[in-house]
Amino acid sequence: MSGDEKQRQDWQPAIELNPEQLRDLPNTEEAAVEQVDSGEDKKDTDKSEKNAGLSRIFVAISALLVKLIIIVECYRLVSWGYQQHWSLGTLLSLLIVSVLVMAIVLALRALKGMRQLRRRQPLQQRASQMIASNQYKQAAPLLDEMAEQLKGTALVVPLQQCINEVDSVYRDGEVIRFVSNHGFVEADRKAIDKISRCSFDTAALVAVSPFASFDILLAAWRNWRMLNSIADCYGIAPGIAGQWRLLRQVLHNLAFVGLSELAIDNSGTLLTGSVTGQLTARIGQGLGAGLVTARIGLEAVKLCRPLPFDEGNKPKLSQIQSSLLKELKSKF
Amino acid sequence: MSLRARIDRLVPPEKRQELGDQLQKFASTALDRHVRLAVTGLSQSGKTVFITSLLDHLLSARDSNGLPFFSLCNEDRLLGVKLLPSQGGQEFPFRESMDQLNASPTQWPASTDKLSSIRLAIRYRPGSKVQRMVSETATLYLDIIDYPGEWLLDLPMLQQNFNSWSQQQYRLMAQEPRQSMAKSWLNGAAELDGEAPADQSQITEFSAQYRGLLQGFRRHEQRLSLLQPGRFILPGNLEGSELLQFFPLVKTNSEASQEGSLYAQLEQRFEDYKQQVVEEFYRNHFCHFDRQVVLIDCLKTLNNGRACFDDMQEAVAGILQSFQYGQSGLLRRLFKPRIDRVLFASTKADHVTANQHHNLEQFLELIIQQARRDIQFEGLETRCMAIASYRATGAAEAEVDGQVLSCLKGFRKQNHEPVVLFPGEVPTALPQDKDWSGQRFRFVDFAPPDLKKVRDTPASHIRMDQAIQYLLGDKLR
Repeated sequence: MSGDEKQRQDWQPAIELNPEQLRDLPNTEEAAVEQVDSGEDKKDTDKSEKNAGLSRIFVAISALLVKLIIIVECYRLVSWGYQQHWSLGTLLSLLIVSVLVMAIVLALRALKGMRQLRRRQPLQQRASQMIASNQYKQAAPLLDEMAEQLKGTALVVPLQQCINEVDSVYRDGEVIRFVSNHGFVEADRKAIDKISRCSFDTAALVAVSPFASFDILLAAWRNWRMLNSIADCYGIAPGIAGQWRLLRQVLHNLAFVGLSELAIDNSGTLLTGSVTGQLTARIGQGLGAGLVTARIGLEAVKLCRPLPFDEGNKPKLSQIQSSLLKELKSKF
Repeated sequence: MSLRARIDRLVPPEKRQELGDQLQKFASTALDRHVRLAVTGLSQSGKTVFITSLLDHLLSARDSNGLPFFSLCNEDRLLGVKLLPSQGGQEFPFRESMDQLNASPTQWPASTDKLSSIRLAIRYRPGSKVQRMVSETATLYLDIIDYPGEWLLDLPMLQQNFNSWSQQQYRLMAQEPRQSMAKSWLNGAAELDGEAPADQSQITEFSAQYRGLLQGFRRHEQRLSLLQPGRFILPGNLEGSELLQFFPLVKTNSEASQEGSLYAQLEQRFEDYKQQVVEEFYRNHFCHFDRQVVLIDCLKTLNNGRACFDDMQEAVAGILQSFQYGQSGLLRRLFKPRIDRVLFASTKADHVTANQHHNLEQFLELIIQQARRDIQFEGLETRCMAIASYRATGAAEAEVDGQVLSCLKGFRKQNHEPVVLFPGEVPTALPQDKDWSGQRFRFVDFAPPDLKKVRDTPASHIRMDQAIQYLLGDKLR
């Protein structure tokens, strides 16, 4: 076939080849490592930051003022100590330095958790876009980025194993669904376990506690603990800042986003209403508190999980609800 | 007289047993525990291999990782799968097919020439709470029948009378490549006088010639598929029967034919064939399905060209009109089941490279366009999928003229020699006439894989797990 002809047609003719012409297939894992090293897509660009300019300046100025005051006070304290006796001054300055170091360590840890959490959302978004994609062999960068985010956690080993098992004929959507289904089995199980345990604890506590206001505190405390351990399940470092952010997102989703899901879930709750009616009022209250806890937990799982759940594989409130009811009835 | 004896007198024990069985069957249908899967496909589209693979993968699903997208395995709810003896009739030769696939050298199961059926019991733990209240385990019975694809083409004849059928056949024979092959037969038929008294030897002669003609179309390089009546090609137990002695003849005038005339005789034979062969086949096996998978060999059309494509499109549209589609409610399921989910599968997806699978699905959509529109009109769920019952090739890359090509490597079906092939790219739109070039595609028939090496891994098939999930997933919740 002449060169002209080749250019005119937009398809490549079928050919049979000699087995010697084959090259070795590039190892996908090696390619993956290279991709991580090149370090693309690492900058987090947060566009909403621009809007918050004014309040930012205000916060910065007040923080600066507070810092100045603290420094001045610390200096005055230390110098007062030295005026009394040199040993008192040394003790005070040691105390201040150690407090400072601790604060810095805590702040770094908290920031790490927050950064990890913040990086989950774009990852999830890209993954859900890719699930609908029919392209082929474009999923590697996303998986690499995920592996990089989870580096150093217990999730990496099963994930890597799962990525190695990905079949060569899967297209991108199938790759993501496969990894989502099989790469986080252990973490999902742990998280769901924690949620059902915690929702039972809350339910039982509320059922036996005699004070209403105390109930709220107890439930809040249990939920706070639960969020922490769920984040830990999915490789997010525990820390006050991350947890605060998680709680805010969870509450936001519960209040605004998850309304339709709530309606669906509630149909299940209504179904068992006749069963709840047979329980005492106290246990009923406990059950309510337990269900709220479970809902918060599931929402947190959705936010912390590196990949979104595959359709049909989502953990449902009704699953937790039935076991909760069973346990409550057996214990009380 | 005790109550027991009284009941015994009213309803004898053996009758009661029968009644009990009937009731149980009724209940299992009502509880959605019974699925009849229609495996539909023209001849050589891979029905037998699909059924074998389906059974093989389901039977070994519990202890293997071979079906990662089948939720029953994912959620660890599968308790076991068992083959049951078929309910009357010939049993599907599953063991024989497996033996052939495992033979050395490996070979594909022989093509089907008779009707057979098989039943599979899938025991699982229900995922839904309500069902678990009823019982901790549930069993889904899956009925599958296998039959020669040629017979399927008889189904559209049910909606035709002799005249319209004959007209359709003549229309087909007026087009290439049929026209040149049928020339002498058409000339002979043109001289026949429909109003003349029927001559038995003449009918026999013309029927035999017509039969030879159909077989010729089938062997033609375009591999035509729309060949009616199907029993002319694969008579089954009807070989030599008078039912197979007729041929299309167009009526010349509009008056009613006299009794004993050639036309009347042919018409009678046509109606007999319809009633005694097609309707029986349809009534016994084809009107009780819940789910359907339509297997289509797109690569055959790409290899063979435009005429093959058009022919297959028309054949598929005709066949699918014979099935009952619609939403299937509780009552309807009991009395008159309907197909409520259809999977269109392009088989032999392993014969193209993995990056072409999506194109293959789009090309499949072109073939089934018309048929699918009708089905969707009924509000049904349909999906197109590129699958391979067993994966016969592996991926490879080669450099040709400085360009890297994704290739396939496998073994040739005929002689088991290693083949490395760039099979061409599957077009997503119907190619222009000039593009149906002999050079563009080369889809080689590959020998089956060595199943011992890929056993229990997802590499033994392509998307069989997703096909199973789509067809049965919602019945196994």
